[in-house]
Amino acid sequence: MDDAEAVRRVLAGDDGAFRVLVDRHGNGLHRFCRARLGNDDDAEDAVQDVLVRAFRSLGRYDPGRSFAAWLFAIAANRVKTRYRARFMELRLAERAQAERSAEEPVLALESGVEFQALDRMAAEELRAAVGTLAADRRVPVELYYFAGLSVAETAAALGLGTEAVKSRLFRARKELASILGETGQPTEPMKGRS
Amino acid sequence: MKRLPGSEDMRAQARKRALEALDRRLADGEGGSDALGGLLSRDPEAAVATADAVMARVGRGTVRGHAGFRAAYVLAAAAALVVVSSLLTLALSGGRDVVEVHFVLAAPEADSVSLAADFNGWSLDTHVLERREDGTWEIVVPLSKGASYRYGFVVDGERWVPDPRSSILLDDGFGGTSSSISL
Repeated sequence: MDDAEAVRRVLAGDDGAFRVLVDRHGNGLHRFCRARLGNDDDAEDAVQDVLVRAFRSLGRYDPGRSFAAWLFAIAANRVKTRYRARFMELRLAERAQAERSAEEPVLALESGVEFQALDRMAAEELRAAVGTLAADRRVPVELYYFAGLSVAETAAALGLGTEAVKSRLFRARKELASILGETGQPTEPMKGRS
Repeated sequence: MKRLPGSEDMRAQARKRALEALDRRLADGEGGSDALGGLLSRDPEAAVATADAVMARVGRGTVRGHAGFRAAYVLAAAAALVVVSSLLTLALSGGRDVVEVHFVLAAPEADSVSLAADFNGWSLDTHVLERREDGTWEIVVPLSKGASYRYGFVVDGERWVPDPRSSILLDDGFGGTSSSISL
């Protein structure tokens, strides 16, 4: 069942069909919300909030549009209005958390644990870096990279043309490469290996 | 047991990993992608709990009676909307037993506003206000004279707002207040 069919069924009275949309888009929504809000609990609350709002607004969804684009337009607005005041402090908290994680010694009993710790740190570094971008680049990055929307869907969600989105994503990618690449190189031989 | 490299080197590896994740996303092209799903993982139990909570809430979309009103009353963790004011005007119909009551609520950031009251069984669907260009919402309801009515506004299907201009606020028995008018 594609998104348009699921919406048709919900509008016809089959509320259960909404679960298809919840399951299909929940993870992308979570990644998007988590990027802004800084912790999983707030992200889960925001996902729930966005999906309930989407359900209640389904009558205004245009089936000719991408459902993902419509849904994430709601998400972008809701996260902005509900959590605007927290965003600045969360950016600082993200950096602090990344620092603390890097300083903790890790005893790896198996390689899987190492990669999990490294992935968590990589996620924190990525979120912190994205958080430093200007809003006109940050939101397209969050939609395209974190939520995994297509370029066209990202453009539709933001009310922009696809070329404008591509341009912003290109500049953002360069900026992120600079942020993540230029300050992380060790200047002395690695220490601590056994 | 093996100790990982020092903190600076770990951070450098993490950043490299972050950049690699971005490259994987780019490699998927202009279509949709789940390339960052592995790096930005979500607790599967939390995901199911959230999905179940969503379905439980949307299943309560239509409420009837006072118990249903309780289901529609949600304490918001963060105020998303600014409700500025409401205005209640009476258009006396002169000689008839019915008064047309004009309910208005200013809520420019709302997506929907309903009037829930004892005269409609506290339904969220029976009296849905219409949005005007200036961001206010309104509805005109004919009510019988000689009676008192309890009511409130429900914003976006989940936030209960008593009439801030009403001089009469009554305990609704669920920890909140509803407004009252007498005709």
